[in-house]
Amino acid sequence: MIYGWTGEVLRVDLTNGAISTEALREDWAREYVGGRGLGTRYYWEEGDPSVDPLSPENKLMFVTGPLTGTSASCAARYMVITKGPLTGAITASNSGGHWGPELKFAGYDMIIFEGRAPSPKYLWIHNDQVELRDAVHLWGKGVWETEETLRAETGVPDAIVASIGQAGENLVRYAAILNDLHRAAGRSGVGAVMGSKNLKAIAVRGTGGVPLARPRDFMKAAWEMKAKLKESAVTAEGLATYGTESLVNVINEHGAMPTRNHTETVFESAEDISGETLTETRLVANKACFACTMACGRVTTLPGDASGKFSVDTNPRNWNISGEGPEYENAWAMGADCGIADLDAIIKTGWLCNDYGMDPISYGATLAAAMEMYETGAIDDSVTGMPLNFGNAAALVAMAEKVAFREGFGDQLAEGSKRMTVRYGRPELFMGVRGQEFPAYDGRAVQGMGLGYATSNRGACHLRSYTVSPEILGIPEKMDPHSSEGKAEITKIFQDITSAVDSSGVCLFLTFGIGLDDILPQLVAATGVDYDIDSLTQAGERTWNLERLWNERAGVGKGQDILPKRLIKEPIPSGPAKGLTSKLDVMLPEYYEKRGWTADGVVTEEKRKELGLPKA
Amino acid sequence: MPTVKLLTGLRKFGGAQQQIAGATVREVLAAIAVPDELLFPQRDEVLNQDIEVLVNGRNIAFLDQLCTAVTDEDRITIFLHGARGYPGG
Repeated sequence: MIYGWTGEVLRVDLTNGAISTEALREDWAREYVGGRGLGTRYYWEEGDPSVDPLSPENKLMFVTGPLTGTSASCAARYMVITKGPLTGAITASNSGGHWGPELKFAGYDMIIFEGRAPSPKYLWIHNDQVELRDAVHLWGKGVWETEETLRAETGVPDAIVASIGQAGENLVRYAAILNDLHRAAGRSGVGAVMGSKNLKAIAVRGTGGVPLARPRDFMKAAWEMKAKLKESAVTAEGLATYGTESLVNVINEHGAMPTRNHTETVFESAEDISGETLTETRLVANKACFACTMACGRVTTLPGDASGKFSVDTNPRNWNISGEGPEYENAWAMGADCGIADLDAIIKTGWLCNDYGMDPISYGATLAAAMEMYETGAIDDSVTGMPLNFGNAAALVAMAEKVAFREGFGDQLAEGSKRMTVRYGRPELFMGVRGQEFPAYDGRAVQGMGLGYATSNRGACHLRSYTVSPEILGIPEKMDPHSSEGKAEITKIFQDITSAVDSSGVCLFLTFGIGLDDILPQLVAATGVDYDIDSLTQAGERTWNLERLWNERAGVGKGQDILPKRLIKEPIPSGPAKGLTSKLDVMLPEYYEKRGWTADGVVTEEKRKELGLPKA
Repeated sequence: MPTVKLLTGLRKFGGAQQQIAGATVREVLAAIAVPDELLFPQRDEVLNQDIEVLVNGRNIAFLDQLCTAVTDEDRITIFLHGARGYPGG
């Protein structure tokens, strides 16, 4: 028996309402660790690459890791695996909070949803009581009201809810799944897949625990890791004090902050939207996920006049509220990328994104592309319904609502920037990869990030190979962000290790303070599987290659490892990285070689056998 | 005098931006209010591994380290990260 798992998988056929349980594939759990890896293996088996992601034939999987719900630091994560409607690629969007642990406590390692419910439903899980319930009365409601309503309706105030808001119902291609009000499986449109299935929410209450193979060894390893986390200035103090927003000034000072849809890389008003300013003026408290020792979550408020400054007419309940965020990526996307320096507008829109259930990165970046279209005359007020010039804070807030409800020009923004820019004849203004918008680091100023974006299986993403660590923070060694040298190798290593961390069930932010070798002893003691660093890293490589193989079958593999022309041909106009373009043409062939793939980026038969990957 | 900007955990030692006299990074570091024991915990010439220093956006690791010359037009950014992990979050 493998420990760290409940051993039960819940399968829900939404079309006919059938609910069943089946045994966890322990061989896959062992081979792929859990979370992202395990979900990828299941999705490889069951997820048809040719399906429309918003059709009943697409499957939607919620997957925990073996450490999820244990007392390991930050053991809160669950993964949502599906075919992303924004990208057409396999996606693994993960979230923290308390939902993943609660699912384990209820006795389930993962849930597989299939089909489409004939009318809106929610799934209620209370230990071994599992039932689909009517959710017609919840349809049209935001995430926050949905959570409140379900806790009241189930009569279980401790129930943890994962749900979609109006954005998911309206199939916004970057709709998210939210739990604990503000924690999101954010990217690639997993919330739209949930909406396409008429699945409004999954409410869970569990009273069990997570079986451990060697509890005493586990606790020893867990406490050793907590001690290390206290030694790191980031995990002990930095993330708690300033949150991820502390990166605003740091990245901007390097001249690496994409500004006004990547036309520049230094935002003149970065200080106004920085973590330092947020902490000094708008922070109320920190918030932590399950078992978290860092508490990077920002509870913020808009005091006084700022509360009503950006009211949205159809949501009067939002006029005077507190909420969470922004995180760094949100502040960038809705701030610098749109040329907006109004921190209150960014905070407000972040809250709206959480309540409507949509990804603020893709929303902000799509709006930035629209703003460039507007400024260059591709669209005007007759199309947008309001001025969309860079820096227009009121438009940022107002358009969030229009996107969620697909009203007016919001209907085009809801398609994501790739489809939107194509529609208006300006495809070169899409800033992303595989249909997914870039996050907050310019791939010219930080060369490794450019390669990481281009090769990311779920589309442009900073959480797949965060080479900001060596290129900006100097860990594990300093690498020149302007140089392409060594970036192929470090990108491959980071991608594999990150896949392993993502599969374990702990938060990736831990790795600001500790390494995979610190997570390893907990994983071994929890599961009883004799992983070592090599086998764990190889499990990450296995996941990466299987994602790639799946994408190949979906037609978004080879030939899609490309960056927009702007990053390749247009030198950065000013700032510390002035004159730079991405050297992707140099890095990519080397990357394929390091991966052991063919020269055009195909997983070889030798690599497939080496990793023990299944055949198509 | 060069402009010095202190970020993150160092902000408390001098505000967002200030002018500090000095012809090299070493001289500027000696003049700012950040305690020496934080900048040089071993009390030698080795900068705290948790602290990064930029001159006009370039890390001094890729310039002339602490000997990097600075002028009145230069902008020096100093921040504390303290990251230890691998590969980061």
